[in-house]
Amino acid sequence: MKNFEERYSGDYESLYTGYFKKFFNYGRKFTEDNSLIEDSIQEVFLDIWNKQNTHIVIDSPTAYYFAAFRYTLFKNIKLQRRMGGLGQRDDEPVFSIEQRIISSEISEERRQKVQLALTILTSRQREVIFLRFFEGMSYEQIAGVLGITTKATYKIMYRSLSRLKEVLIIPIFIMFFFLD
Amino acid sequence: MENFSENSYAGFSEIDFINDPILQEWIIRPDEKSDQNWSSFLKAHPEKRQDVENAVRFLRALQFEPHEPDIKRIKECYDEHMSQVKASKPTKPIKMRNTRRPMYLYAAALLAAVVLFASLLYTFDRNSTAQIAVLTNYGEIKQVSLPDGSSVVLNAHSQVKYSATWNDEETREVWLTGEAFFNVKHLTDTRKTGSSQKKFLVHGEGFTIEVVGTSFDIRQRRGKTEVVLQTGKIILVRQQNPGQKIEMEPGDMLTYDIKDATIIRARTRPEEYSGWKEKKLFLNNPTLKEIVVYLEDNYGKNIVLESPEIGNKRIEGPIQLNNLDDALFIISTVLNTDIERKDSVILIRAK
Repeated sequence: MKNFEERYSGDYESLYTGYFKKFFNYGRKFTEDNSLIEDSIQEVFLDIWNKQNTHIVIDSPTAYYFAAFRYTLFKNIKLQRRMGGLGQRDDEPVFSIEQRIISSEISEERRQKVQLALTILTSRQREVIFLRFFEGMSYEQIAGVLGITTKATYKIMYRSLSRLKEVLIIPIFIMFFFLD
Repeated sequence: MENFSENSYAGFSEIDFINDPILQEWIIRPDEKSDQNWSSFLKAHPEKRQDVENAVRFLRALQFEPHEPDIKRIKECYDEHMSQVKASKPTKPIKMRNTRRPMYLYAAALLAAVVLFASLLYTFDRNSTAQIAVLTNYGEIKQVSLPDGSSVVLNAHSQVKYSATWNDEETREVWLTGEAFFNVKHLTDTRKTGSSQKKFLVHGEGFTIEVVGTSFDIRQRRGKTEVVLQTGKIILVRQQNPGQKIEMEPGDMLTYDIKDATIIRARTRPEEYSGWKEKKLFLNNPTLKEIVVYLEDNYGKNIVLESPEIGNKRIEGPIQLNNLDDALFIISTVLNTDIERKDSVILIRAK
């Protein structure tokens, strides 16, 4: 990454809008509190703005900003829990997915099965799959976002995909989920 | 990114294809090149078609419910952000009153305008040299070469900043947060006759270190700074007491607490102290609490001790901390503790 202008060939507002959408979508997986997400986004952007005159030597701006947003969001979620006096305050926020069944279209069926199957994974396994297949990040970038090694990222991904595959080849098992 | 190689896929099963980063890349960002690669592979290996198709269908089905923010809300947030940005660089409005002012006030105003203009030019000029910032994540160590050939090894979760270009007239200056090991090059000041050294300054939180061709370690964590000198000579000056210049000898360790402004001098083995550079940190007779503080600072984990008492348990003799897993293994075996890991939280309890 060279400098601010080179990083974003477009204007600042479109950069802001693009990351806002991504961060909002990502943040909603951890909390349903929109204003908490918005506050975290503002914090990160103020930080980006204040650093615009410095050249930052990092491999991937996307991973860097996602890591910054994740860190800020988690900090704010924990802070809110502490103020709310909730017992689970030091647990990591959980990456959850909504089990919303939209319609019974056949084309939707397989997607819904996957949605249900995803719920058996751990929070981190779901997050890794999201960053890879929804955000399209490389294994190196994911490692950067989560603050773990690339090797560990490969391991987590392998375990998640294999676990998902196990579940998805037994349609009857999935059917039980549906009836529930 | 690895290159596509048909032969390596001969023994692949469906689950292998699913886990293959190159096939995943094809699903995420399909392009002509990868389309060609995969179709020629399937022509050569028709027996793999079913497995590949299943893998592709499986990966394509991995979708997440998207949450889209309201477009109007983004615009509102953007405007709010821009006003925050402006607020962080305040511009003071000039108050005007509708009364006649004596002549000298106009003169003063004119003078002020000239001074302002001059200082603006000056700051503009100074800003024209861009700053470079190098940062490290938790668990990461980076080697940084400075424009003069000096080198910095930056420990985890730290940052070093400096100007992109260092010209001959200027003092070499570096700003540090976190921990780094410096190896500073001897440079003779070209402006002065005689063999005076060109200054090298490291600015930390509340202090500055003046260097004369030296290697040394600065560790700033949790409001406490430790400086260990390996070779050469350095002078430490604190902002609180700029008149006092503290000279250090090789093997000296200065510990400086920002809160109570105390400074302690001790002797240490610099090679061991800076062992983190090779990811080998030596700690001598450390308590569990000391190890925990080090691991938290460098690996970004939240480490919880079941009771404060076990924090006082001590490991006799020197131990070497190469990585987080080794360190936890030592803690569990030598100190007879149970370790439970959950995401980024690690719980240590007595057995």
